[in-house]
Amino acid sequence: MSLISSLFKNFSASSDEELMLFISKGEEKAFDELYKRYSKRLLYFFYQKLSRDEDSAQDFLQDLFLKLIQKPQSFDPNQRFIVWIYALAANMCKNEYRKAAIRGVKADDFDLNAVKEKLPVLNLPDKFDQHLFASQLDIALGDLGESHRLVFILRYKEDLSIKEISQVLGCAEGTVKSRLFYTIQRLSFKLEIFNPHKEVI
Amino acid sequence: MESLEPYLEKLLLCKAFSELSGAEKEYVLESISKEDYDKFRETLAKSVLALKTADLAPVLSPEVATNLKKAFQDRHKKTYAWPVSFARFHFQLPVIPAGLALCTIVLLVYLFHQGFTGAPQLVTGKTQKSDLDVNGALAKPELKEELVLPLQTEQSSNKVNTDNKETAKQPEVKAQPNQIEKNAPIQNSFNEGESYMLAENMEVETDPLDEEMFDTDNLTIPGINVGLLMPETN
Repeated sequence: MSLISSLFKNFSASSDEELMLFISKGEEKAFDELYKRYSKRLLYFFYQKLSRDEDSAQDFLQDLFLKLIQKPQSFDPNQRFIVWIYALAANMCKNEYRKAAIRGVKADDFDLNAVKEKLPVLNLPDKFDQHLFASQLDIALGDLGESHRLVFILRYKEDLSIKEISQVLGCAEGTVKSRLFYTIQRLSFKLEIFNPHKEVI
Repeated sequence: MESLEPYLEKLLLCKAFSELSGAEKEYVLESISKEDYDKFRETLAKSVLALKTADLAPVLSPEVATNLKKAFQDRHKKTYAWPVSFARFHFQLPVIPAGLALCTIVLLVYLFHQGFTGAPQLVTGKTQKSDLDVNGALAKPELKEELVLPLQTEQSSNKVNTDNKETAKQPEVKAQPNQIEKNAPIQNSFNEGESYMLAENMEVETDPLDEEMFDTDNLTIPGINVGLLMPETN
């Protein structure tokens, strides 16, 4: 019965929370759908959070989904899945930082003065080049501190509210707001060259 | 400390500085300058668009997907087990061996029960006086089974007999010659008259009401021990 129902079930229309319910019942296609929705986004999250180490990000992504497979009941259906999964991902990274601290590896601190030199000087046309902007934004975000970068990504890529971001990252809402302000300020400065109002000398 | 309040963020994402109302401009200028507002707005709009559309993440490793698929299948493979909980203990009983064990237990219980009670009883296990011979001994063990059919036939026609005594000679009774032949060895030990007398002399437990309704004096069938055909009393 389960096999027949899963063959004809269209999981693409289901919400994340419903998919988790199906996953706990052993519906493989539900898991495939959830993986399709979140794998890339979470990989980017880990990539940003783990000092842009792609291999580590892949490992963390696998570990995260393994946890989801092993203990789907740990998800509270009353909670938003996206908040839960990002909080889980953030906690995994925190644990990694602790282990790294024990090993004596220093975290990649944000160096404000080094940012200016890193920014490439481009002779851009007036027309906004979206692809080029995206790549420069990625670089600029990478130069920001991890906490500021993640707040910005969670807010404007994942559309999480200030409250939800504070839950994910385990910090106060005021901290999230100030980090957002600071990040926009820094990005405006770094990506000033893309500003059409800017007079290029 | 400067912070991005939700209202300021909303204005940044929705309106240019020139589009702001007087109150909104006043609110904005409390936090940032007009130039900053334009720059922030430009950066924010482009960043949101880039984050939503551009593929900034590294390429997903197909190995991860394969490993996860395998892990999921291992986790949810069919175990054909019954989850059993007893007090604080939880077991997973394999269905097929447990089912076989259960069937064996049921079979053993059935056989054990049969060992005490013998073959299934067709008539009540209570020995009736009509089964006894003159000396009070059981005439023949097979007698009880042999008499089942006539007895049941007679019981089913009791109501008819009470209405009309002559109906004793109706088809149910007429069918008796076959049984008579079958019971011939028993019947042969008595003469016709003797068998009738024997039935009269035996103290058959009958309900007085039944006796009134069922006049055995007039119910004489040659070769049949009428006493044995008496309706079974409660």
